[in-house]
Amino acid sequence: MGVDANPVTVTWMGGIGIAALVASYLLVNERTRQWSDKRIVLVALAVSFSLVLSTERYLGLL
Amino acid sequence: MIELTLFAAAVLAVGLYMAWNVGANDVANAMGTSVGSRAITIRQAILIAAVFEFSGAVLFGKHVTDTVRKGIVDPAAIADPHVIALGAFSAILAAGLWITFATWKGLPVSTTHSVVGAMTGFGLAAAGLDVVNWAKMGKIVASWVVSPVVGGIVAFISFSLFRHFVIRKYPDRARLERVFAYFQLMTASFVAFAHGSNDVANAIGPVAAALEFSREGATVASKVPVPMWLLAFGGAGIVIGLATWGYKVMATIGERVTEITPTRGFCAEFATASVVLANSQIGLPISTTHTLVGSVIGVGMARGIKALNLRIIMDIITSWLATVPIAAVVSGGIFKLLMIVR
Repeated sequence: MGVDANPVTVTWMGGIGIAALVASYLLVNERTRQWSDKRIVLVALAVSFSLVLSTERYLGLL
Repeated sequence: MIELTLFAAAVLAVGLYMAWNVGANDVANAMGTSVGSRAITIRQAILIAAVFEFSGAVLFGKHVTDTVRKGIVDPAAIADPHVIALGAFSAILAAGLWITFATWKGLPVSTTHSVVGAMTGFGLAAAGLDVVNWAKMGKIVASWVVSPVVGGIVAFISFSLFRHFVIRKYPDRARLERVFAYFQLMTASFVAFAHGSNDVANAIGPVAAALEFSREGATVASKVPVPMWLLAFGGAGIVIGLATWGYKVMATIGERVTEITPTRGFCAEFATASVVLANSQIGLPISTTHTLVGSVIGVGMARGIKALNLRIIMDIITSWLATVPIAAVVSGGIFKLLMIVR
């Protein structure tokens, strides 16, 4: 199997990867570690996909 | 529309059988670690995989496919299109039989290599050594090493970094695993979607070729069209396969190679998806199945070699080495038999 690097696949994987990093930060940070699991996941996803989509738009990929 | 001949009916039946095999063996690529880590149940995994595999196949499956998978055999060297049709039929039947055996044993094999091996067998039986693209075969052999090694390295590094910067700094391990179960699932969904879009061709490509070249007046071509109904047909076969027999290889990937938790499973799946995605730009010979197994071994190695079940790993590697030659021999045999009786 191969997977073509198109905007859908790059957005999907880029978003998940960055969200995992953001979630890791939120878990260890003193101010946010008390948040619920779902809140951490949703905030991480929102931040990551905003970042990925805006970067793709800036680079003209979208 | 296809003519409803006996041969066309047989081709569709064998195509469905092959799609079933693709689903049963390959669903573990996407869902094996999620089930093994207990992030989701087998039933949930089947439901999620079914949605994403079918969507991938229908929405992103290619509408034109190679006559011969990966161009391993030059169809122009075989002048008679009806011979190609018989060869394609032999190939998908042979590949399907091998994958059935591997799935029964719980061994994750590359369905692409099975089809390529089977096509090679038909090519050799039909026209001899010169018809095979040996350079491409060399790439496939190289992928046996490149895929698991690259996947293993990426997974090892990513899990090691994650363990150093996150796991050791965060005492509540259970909570960390709960949070990462979500990301593991999202990555698994991506792999299922990508698999559906790309690997439906393993089942449907030879079917399309067999149907196309069995028509009266057909001419040999390197590409054949794939109508939407055939993509949906293949997608449905994949879903039936993963729902009925997918649990066998999922158990191997998710439990028998090394202990999987959501954080380890996420690192393994993400490493696999990243390597496969990057490869579309680099062009290394990569197999998703092999890359995933390498990634799972990689996260296991991050905890030390004793964390790995070396016996099952050796069994898996043996099955990889056997895939191309066994598929080739079986396919060549079936083709010779069909040429006698046709």
